[in-house]
Amino acid sequence: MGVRVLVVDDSGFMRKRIVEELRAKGHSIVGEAKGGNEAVEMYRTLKPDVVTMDITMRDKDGITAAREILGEHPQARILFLTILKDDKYKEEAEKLGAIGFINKTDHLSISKIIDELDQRR
Amino acid sequence: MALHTSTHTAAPEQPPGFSPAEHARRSSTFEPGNRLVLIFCILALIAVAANVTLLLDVSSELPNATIIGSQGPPATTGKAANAAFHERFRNLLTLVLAVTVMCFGCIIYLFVSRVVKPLKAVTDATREMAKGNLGVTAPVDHNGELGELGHVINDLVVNFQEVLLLTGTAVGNSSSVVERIERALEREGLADANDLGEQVTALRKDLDMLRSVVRDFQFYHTRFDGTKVVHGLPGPENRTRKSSDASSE
Repeated sequence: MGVRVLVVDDSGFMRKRIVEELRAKGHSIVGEAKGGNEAVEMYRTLKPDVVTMDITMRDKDGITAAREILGEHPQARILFLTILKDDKYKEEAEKLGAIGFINKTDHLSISKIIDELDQRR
Repeated sequence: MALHTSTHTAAPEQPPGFSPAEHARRSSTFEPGNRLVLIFCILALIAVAANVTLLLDVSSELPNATIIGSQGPPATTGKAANAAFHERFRNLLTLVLAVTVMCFGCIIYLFVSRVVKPLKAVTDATREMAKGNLGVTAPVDHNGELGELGHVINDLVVNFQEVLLLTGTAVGNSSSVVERIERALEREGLADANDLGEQVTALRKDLDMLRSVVRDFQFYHTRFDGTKVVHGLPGPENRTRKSSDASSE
């Protein structure tokens, strides 16, 4: 059936890669945001099943954006995708209640988590 | 497949950027924006000078017209009208001169504030990026094409940063594997067999070269520590952080 995904990443080519990967798995991309502010706005209107969230972005970082989204919508499911190997952010993500904190090049793990979400629905 | 030649192993000594001569030329007073302001000023001067010349010419004619007009009764009315016309023409020219000066002043002010300054800010940011500091952000708080240009430049830099950090991560992961292979070859005494050890060493040198290239750049809020991407200070301070890292190594 597929999961409705909002992809958040400030890098256009990285968004494209994530989108292609998820579409190939049968999920639908309901929106793409290139910053934290845009992500918060888009979540309000699109209400996606899951948000793939980059961390380091120039207008508002992913942790802050996720905190705002979860503050308004506690049921929101945020999957952090990053190339940062920093325990500080991992701990922040866990505290926020994110469903994952994965290296954004690890397509297998990304697909696995989102597929599991799809099956649980 | 043959591994890399030694020509590939030399790391560039300078980060990407302009040569000193190029930099001096680009940061000179006569940058494109400044040149246009200069052209505007010259045009304004020409227009004002033409007005002033005409005004002086008319002003010098005015006393003659009045004197001639007072010589005889039949000509008095015509000459007086002529003098009045000259007077009006002079006033008109004065007005035109004032309006011209004001218009050129406004044009130059608007051009400097709306085009030259924003363009300089974008150029400065782009120049910093070209030197390898990807932590800077081009200003995007202008409407129109300049704001759009800032957005496009930032998108380009974000993509470039992403590619470099992915490269750095891949280098870090590959290096640890290559080191393990080197140790295993050494342990098993296979380092000299079929030039395998030599090829693995060449591969490690290539990875070291890539690592040094990635470390030549400064990134937005992140840092490549040689093996992985970690949290870093915001852009401008990154350079300081990197220098202190280098000096401590």
